[in-house]
Amino acid sequence: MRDHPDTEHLLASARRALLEQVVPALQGEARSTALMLARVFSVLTARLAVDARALAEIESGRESGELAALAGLLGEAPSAARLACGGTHAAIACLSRKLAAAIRCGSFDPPGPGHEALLRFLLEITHAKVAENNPKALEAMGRTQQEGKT
Amino acid sequence: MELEPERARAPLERFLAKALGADACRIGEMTRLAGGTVQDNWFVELQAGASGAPPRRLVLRTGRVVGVNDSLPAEHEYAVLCAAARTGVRVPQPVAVCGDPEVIGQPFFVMSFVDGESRPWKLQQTPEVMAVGDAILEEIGAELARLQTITPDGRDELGCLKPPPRDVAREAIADIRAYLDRHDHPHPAIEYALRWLERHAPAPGPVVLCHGDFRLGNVMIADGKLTSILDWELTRWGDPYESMAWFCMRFFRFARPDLVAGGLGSRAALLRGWQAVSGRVPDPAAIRYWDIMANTRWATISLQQVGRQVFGGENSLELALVGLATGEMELEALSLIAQADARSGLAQA
Repeated sequence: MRDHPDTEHLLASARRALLEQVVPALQGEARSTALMLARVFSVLTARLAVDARALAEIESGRESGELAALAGLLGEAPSAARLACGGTHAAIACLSRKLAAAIRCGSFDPPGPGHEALLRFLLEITHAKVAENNPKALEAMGRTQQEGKT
Repeated sequence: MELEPERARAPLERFLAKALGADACRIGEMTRLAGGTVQDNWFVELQAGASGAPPRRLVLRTGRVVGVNDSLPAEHEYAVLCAAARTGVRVPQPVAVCGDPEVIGQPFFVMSFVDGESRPWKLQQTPEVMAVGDAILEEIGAELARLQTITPDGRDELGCLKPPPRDVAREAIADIRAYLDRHDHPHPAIEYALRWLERHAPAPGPVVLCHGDFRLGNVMIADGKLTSILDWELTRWGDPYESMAWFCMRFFRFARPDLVAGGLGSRAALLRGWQAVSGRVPDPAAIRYWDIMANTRWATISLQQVGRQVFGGENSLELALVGLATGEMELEALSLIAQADARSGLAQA
């Protein structure tokens, strides 16, 4: 078992030091680079949390939510896909590839039954991706969409 | 290979003297300009001929080692710049081009330096600019319409560009799919957008010159006016609505997502300027279609930028962060599709 501070805490301290002590002392390109580094720390923190949740899901004996949703869309059993691909991560990649190919050849075109479920799934995974990489963009998108501006 | 100004200075002076028909040229200041992840720009102060004349302020533009796949080599970008200048589009004045990589280590061209600001975040922080945002957008729309008077017919000097597509939308879809097929990660959301674009593709229409990266960051603004359109390395033949959609993409609105046209003002202003010069009434369905195409294309380009970083050996934090934005364009495309579908559902009901 690791001693404190944990990874999350380390990243948070590094990001705060960068923003409060380093950035104000810099100008121009160096300042932009330091701000980009701060952003990297935020993304790493968000990804750690997501990975920890996924790990807890797997450890509890449940299938990962993403794998279950993918398998559901493709009419496959998640456990079979996981065994065939040699793990949850590989199975998600494999089924995503199958899904991409099925979308391209029109298997999910509306008004078929799969279309609504597919759209919900795509919105969910894309939303999760943006939440990890740029939560501010998500807030801004929600705001302008509510105001009806596109 | 990066340009080494001290090594380049003497051969550049000889080249420019010959190109400008001057007895001799002397380069004073030579400094790298910020911006440009694809091309490199250098400010060059040039004393040509008699020492009494005021020095000319120029920009030297070269390519970087690993370019984006579709970026034009210097000679071809120069040909485009010349065509735009001849048509009366506001661009930096072309001065000279050198396709010989031996002269300064890589092909390059030289154009006039244009004063002003093109960084969107800076423009957005300038109240005097934001106060006249819609007026600037009208100018930008008008310039775009002028640029679009350049069509493939009888344009031998633009033979360097890829041949004009017969069906812009369907060829763009095929290109993006071909790119995705070379990419190891699957992208179901991009595939979904492409399938929608395929099912709703418009009948092939007129093909015009398309800047290829028409956004606020590529226009120069001084004293509340548009002074020139920059960075022509991604120019290609395309659909008239593509550039307007690109300009209005959410990703390029930066701190002002509420201002649809480049984070500067309204799309209506951009369209007003475009309509005034082109004489065409904007087609809302085409605008919706090309908005979705723009986001889908940019999602794919951002993947390509990460490809440069991860596989192309370019260790740039900036390129890595561009890739983080792929999901934003995917989400925007999905939401624009949902809106378009809801609209057509209403129309059918």
